[in-house]
Amino acid sequence: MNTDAIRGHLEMLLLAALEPGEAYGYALIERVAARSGQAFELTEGSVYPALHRLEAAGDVQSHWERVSGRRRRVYKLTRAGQARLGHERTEWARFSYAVSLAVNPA
Amino acid sequence: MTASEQWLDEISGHLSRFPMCRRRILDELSDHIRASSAELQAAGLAPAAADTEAVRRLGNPRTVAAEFAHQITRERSVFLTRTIGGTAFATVALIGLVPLLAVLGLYAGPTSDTVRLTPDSWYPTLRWLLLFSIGVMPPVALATVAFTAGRVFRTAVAITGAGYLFMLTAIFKNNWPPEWASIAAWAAFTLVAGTGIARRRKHTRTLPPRLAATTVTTIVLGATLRLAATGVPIPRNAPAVAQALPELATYFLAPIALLAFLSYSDARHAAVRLHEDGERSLSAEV
Repeated sequence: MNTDAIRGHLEMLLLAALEPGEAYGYALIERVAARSGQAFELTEGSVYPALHRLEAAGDVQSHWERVSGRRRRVYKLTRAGQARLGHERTEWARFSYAVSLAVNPA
Repeated sequence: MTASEQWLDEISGHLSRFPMCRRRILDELSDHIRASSAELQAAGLAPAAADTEAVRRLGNPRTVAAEFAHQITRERSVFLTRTIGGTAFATVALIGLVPLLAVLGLYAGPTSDTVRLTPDSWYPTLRWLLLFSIGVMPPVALATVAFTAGRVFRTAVAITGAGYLFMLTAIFKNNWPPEWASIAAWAAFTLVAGTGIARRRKHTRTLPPRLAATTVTTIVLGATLRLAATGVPIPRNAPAVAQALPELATYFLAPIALLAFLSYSDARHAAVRLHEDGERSLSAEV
């Protein structure tokens, strides 16, 4: 499944990937891939603008860490992000149930 | 030059319009490339091949830059709206609040049948606050309007603004301007501000309540200044202030209200324009 298929849900996927704990961008991409059973092939460059959007919206916050003498940006979920994730999970469950009903009529 | 250096160089060029954000973006992406390349090398790829594969997975640098540009532009438009709109409303709030305090302060003052709100009254602090609110805040709002408006309108605002500031300087020196000067300043400012509003009509959905709020504020301020200029004694329990209000509503302070409103309107227009520019950039580059 390529990025176009999940474009509208990328932020939700990233928020869910941050739920276990903070992570930097590359690690988040790996978490998304692992949690989806390698079903998603994200265009990795799209993840960082999405993370910046989430930070601008207050759903995540980030800070710099020093790793081997270089800077690494680490992200973590905020309370607002946690609330948004809960809301999006509910919406997704409703949406996927409706789509299932529509494409698999009884 | 390695593949990653070339990739980062290209995206850096695409993000040259955003020097403040570019450093962070490049640091994040180069960290990503290092981590990705290290994992690929651990999986058995040669360093050069790992480097090439790492940037391939990142995607087209133009596309990635366009997504960042879209996001940065959107954030700036929100910031611009809040800052300039906030300045405009702070102007109106300040020039409305201070004269109210001045009038209330007078009524709480010495017990006599009348009080005078004059430049030499025993509330010098309130006087300075009043002069600050009408002398400093409108030029601030004026500057923000000039920043967002088109060239012709900006020139007109600059000319009328210079005249207005000259008049305010005279007030600061306790030398109240003659009637003709204040009427001329009012007429010019109103004409310019009205033209600006007419041009921005498509972005003035909330025109009536804002105009009403700023008009009321102007009337209160105008009443106070008029009383200060004439030194008319205010009976403590009289509606004399109310009698001056119709005249003051058409006095030279009306442009302050229109200016504050216009700066907010222009801020919204600028924000919409910035956002649309961002959308066009994204469409052109992807």
